[in-house]
Amino acid sequence: MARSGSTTEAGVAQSIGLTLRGVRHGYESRDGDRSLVLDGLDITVEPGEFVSVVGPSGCGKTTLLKALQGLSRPWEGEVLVGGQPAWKVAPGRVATVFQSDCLLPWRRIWRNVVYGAEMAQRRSHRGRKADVQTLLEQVGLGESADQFPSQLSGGMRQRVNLARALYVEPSVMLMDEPFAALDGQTQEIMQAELLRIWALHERTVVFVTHRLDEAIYLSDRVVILTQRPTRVHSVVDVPFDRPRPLDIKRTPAFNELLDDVWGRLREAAGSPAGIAR
Amino acid sequence: MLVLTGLMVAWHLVTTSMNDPMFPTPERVWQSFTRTWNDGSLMEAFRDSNSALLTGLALGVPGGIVLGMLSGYFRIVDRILAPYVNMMLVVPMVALVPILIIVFGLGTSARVAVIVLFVLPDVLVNTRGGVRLTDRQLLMMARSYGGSTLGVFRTLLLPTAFPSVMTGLRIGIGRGITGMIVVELTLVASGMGGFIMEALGRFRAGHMIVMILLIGLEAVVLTTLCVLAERRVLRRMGA
Repeated sequence: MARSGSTTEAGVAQSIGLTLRGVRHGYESRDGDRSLVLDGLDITVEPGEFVSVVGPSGCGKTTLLKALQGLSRPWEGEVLVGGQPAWKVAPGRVATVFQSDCLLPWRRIWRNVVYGAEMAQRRSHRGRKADVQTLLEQVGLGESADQFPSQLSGGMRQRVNLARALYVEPSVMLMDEPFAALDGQTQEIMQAELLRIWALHERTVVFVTHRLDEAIYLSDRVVILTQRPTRVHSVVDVPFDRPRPLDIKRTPAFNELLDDVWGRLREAAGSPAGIAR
Repeated sequence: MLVLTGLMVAWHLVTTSMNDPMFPTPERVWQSFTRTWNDGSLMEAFRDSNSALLTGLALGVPGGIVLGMLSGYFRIVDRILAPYVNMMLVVPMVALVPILIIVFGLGTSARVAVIVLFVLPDVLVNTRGGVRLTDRQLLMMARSYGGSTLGVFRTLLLPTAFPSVMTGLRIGIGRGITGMIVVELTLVASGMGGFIMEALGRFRAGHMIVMILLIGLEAVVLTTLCVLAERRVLRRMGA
């Protein structure tokens, strides 16, 4: 696939959208039993949009992410990334930030940042420290290039995880509960940081989370999934302007929206079990 | 150092009091050493054995690492190899020596083959165990970035398995030396083992002890080198 043209002078890759059309997907156990997880999902994500996905526990968010990564082909329906089937999309155009930071403990921070590009064989194959420095400064780790992951706190390691995804200049970023393992205070800081960094890069983001306030604070739209077999329950627009200070979480409008989404989620789950507010 | 001095003194006292040529004093052993050193027979045996050992290690160690990595990663390879590996670990390799001699003859290739068979299983098993320690989350991450199997092996499996590989290497070298001496003592009378057999035939106990000490020294030096190399690499990897 031609890479030239998708990157501007500023190094900002053009965003592309995502489309899921009637996606039915699940997994096969070792004895060949098929269990259906996604039962006809229709989701559209516009280029440059930040969309969160929330749903009851075990509603198949991981299955959804795998399909979006192109790691598995859906049984039925289409997963399109910029109009192309996800499993055909070149590695690195879709980058994932996982819940655990997934850093290689034996690599210095800057070498961890280039790891994704190395695997995707994007950018200069090896990557130089100087290339990484700007990005590390953006995520607030300008001083840490030569440190090892064990020397960083959980929040800082998650920043490295994010930088690694950004370094491949993806058109789409998938984030799988990236802050779930952090303490509450760090979570809030990281949410604000993510928005700040996102504003610099303007990528299409699909953000999976269990936390409704996180979903609302970050997103343009929140997709609410039902219990398995999973469908889209509803989609909520988040009307707040950007940039968004963390304080908006304390406003009545925010809490109204939170209550609304909470109610929908309860409806989607059938019972309130397994939902963290 | 204290232990060594104590041993030397005890040895001296015991052997002097016995005054039996088959139990030589340290002084007699030293004479044996200078004589065999000066006439070159000691070093000739050393070189002879070690060229076989090095060839055997050069084949057995990479072979063990590659097979170990494959069987740690691919379930099917593991299924195929497991019975043979288990057999090789349990059956005394010494029992195979006569068969190998029949197949390869009494030359260098037989000795090399024995050493390979002694070295490979330990390196393989340790490497496999090390590969198995690889974090599944890291594997998933590498895959999601489009990492190829070769790339994953190089950047994830090998570094994870490295300490285990080195343990395997250390044990393997020890086993390799054992294999080397075993063949030379039993069937192919050459090298260091042959040197011992010849000394035995001529009732030169001093010569035998010199060679045994040399073998011990070699084992210590080689395994120490392994440990140092491992530490160095681990420090470079920042672990």
